[in-house]
Amino acid sequence: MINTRLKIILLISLLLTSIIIATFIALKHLQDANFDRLDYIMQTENAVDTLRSRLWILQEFQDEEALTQTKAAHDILSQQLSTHHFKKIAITSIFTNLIRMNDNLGALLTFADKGLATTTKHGITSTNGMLTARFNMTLQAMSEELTSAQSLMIRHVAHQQKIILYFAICILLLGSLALLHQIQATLKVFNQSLLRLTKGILRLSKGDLQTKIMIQQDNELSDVAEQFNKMTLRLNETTIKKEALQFEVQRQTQQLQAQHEKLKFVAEHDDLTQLYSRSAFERQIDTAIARCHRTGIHAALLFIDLDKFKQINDSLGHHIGDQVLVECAARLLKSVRSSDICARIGGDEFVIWLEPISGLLEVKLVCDKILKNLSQPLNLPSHQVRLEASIGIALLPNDDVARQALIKIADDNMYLAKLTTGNSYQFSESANSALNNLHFL
Amino acid sequence: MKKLAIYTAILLLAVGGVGSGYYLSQSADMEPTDKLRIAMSTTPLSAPIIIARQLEIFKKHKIDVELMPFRGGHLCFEAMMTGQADLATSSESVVMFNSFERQDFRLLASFVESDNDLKLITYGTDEKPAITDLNHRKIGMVKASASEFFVDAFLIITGQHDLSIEKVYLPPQDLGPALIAGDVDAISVWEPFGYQLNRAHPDKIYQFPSKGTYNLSFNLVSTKQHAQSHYRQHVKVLKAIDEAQLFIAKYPLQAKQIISEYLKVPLNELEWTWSDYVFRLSLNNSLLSNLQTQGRWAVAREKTIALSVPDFRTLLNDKALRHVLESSKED
Repeated sequence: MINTRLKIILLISLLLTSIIIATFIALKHLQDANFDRLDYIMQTENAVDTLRSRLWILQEFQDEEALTQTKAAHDILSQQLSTHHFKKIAITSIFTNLIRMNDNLGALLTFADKGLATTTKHGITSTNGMLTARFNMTLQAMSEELTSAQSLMIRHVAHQQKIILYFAICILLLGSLALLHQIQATLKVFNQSLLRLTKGILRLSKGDLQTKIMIQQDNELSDVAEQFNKMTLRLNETTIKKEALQFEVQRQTQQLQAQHEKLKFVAEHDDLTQLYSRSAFERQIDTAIARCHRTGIHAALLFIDLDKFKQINDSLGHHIGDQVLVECAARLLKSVRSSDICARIGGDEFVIWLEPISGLLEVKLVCDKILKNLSQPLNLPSHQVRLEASIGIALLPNDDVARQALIKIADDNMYLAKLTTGNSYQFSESANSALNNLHFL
Repeated sequence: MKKLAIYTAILLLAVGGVGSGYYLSQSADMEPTDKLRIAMSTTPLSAPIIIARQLEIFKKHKIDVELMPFRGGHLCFEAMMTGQADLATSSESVVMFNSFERQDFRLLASFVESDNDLKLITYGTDEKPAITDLNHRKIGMVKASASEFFVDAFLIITGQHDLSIEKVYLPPQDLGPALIAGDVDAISVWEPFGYQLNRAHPDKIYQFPSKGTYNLSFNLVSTKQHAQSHYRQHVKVLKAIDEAQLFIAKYPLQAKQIISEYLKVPLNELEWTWSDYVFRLSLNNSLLSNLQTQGRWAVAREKTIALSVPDFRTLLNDKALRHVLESSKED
């Protein structure tokens, strides 16, 4: 865990700092202690020097006062030596030896005490001379011992300082390496994890919902990666649901559209012939009349009624009658342009809207074509039927410009046509009077 | 990782460097073992040399030492000067007396001191004798040795140098029997003879209080020529003695046990004098002062035909000792 690693780094850093502080404290403590010890040695040296000067006076003057002063100096040195507190064997041995030498000086002073009365003589064979030699020798040895103690003490201090410093250096070196290792390892883990996270987020931002972040190490960023993966998964699932929903909505919309179209078709068309119903035809005519008005083009409304259809229906049955109507509708559609509008508005009544027309002749040609196609024999399974029809024609704008009026004019013209036996068609009288002069009024 | 690798490499190099240094320092010691003969006085004063031999400290320092035991430092000195031995252990008194005769020897180091090794002993008196009782008496001593100087120094210091005494010169081992036999009235003798007399006749032996009168030192001596040509070997010997003295300071009981077994001296006898010994390597002015004092005494008392003391400074060769003390400073 990165958090744990950072805590370890902090701990090691604190440890290293503590070691440095502890080293300084130890060195300070050592310095103080050793200063006291060196001071003690120097005080002892001073006591030896004092004794040396007193002994010189004693040897020179050989009187009671000098002896008293020498003994006092000897006592001070004895006292000083008795208070040593060294622990190191080599230095303790030196002080033991110093105490011995000081005792010897004490014994020699006793001899000096007795020799005060003797005639003062110099030379090695005199008491004074031999004592002086012995005093000097012993004091010399004491000074040398103290110098040696001082030297040992300094070496001891240096050695202790060296040990403390080496120890601290080793610990600091090892600690620093451990710290470095931890930092490197943490940085590596952090960088790797962060890089994978960044790449994962980048892939997601580009729309890759399948992306997954894989972090091997168990750390805080791996938790983030795990949450990211969960989030991506949910996002993916949500997106899939949305798409499915959209698809379903689209499908159902299309279905509804189809149903709507079907219903509209059913509503607007005749069930049997699939031609426009009367209402649909009327809406279509209204739109067409408005269009003709706007553009100034001509149109014609044909009202077609089958002759003797009732007889067919009665004699051959409704089933055959229906087949006849269906065939009739097909032949009508075949007779006109795809842009013309055909409708069935009654049992055997059909209407056709021709638009545009350029003249009466064109209308007549269409009527002839219709009648010709309708007149073709109709082969039923058991019968052959030959149809005849009467067509009433109303012209826009020559006859009228209103739908109802046009239908009525056409219907009326159809009845006029019925008056003629067989196939026939009938224009309005005004139209007939100007057969070749079709124009807008 | 790169940085870690660099630091690890530095650490390894440092360890390698230290290792190589250690190996080189070890290999420096891998020199052939030298052979050396030391004429050694059979006294506990020779303890550091005996310990170094018994604990094979000499071998550790690549020196094969053969110990040649003699009864007294003067015999050791003689053996060394006649070429029987390479080194000798002798008291400064022996050195002083010989320095009037010859200058072709050198003191390499003093390795032990005692301020209570010489004793002035009387026998058979019920009452505590006074020094003046020695007037017109025979005092046994070893001629031209520490024992003769000690008697004189003691009488001078106590103010009795005008006493009329008869000096009887005897070998050290004969002094005790002569005292018991009544051939002499007092003897000046070194240990362990004083202890042996005390143990044999505890109620009849009296020892004059003489503390501080005399400092005996035991020294390592070689010929002048040997001191010049065998510096390296002398360094090794002194290093071994230094190490042995450290052992004595740290483990006195074991040290006494070893000496007791080697010299075939009872442990009690050893205990008698052990506390008087100060084992340390030195060659300083206090020894020079001691030699000067004894030298002046010898001239004054006409123990020599010389009219002045020799320059003892020329007899001290502290080159090897300084090397040892300096190297021990570095340890």
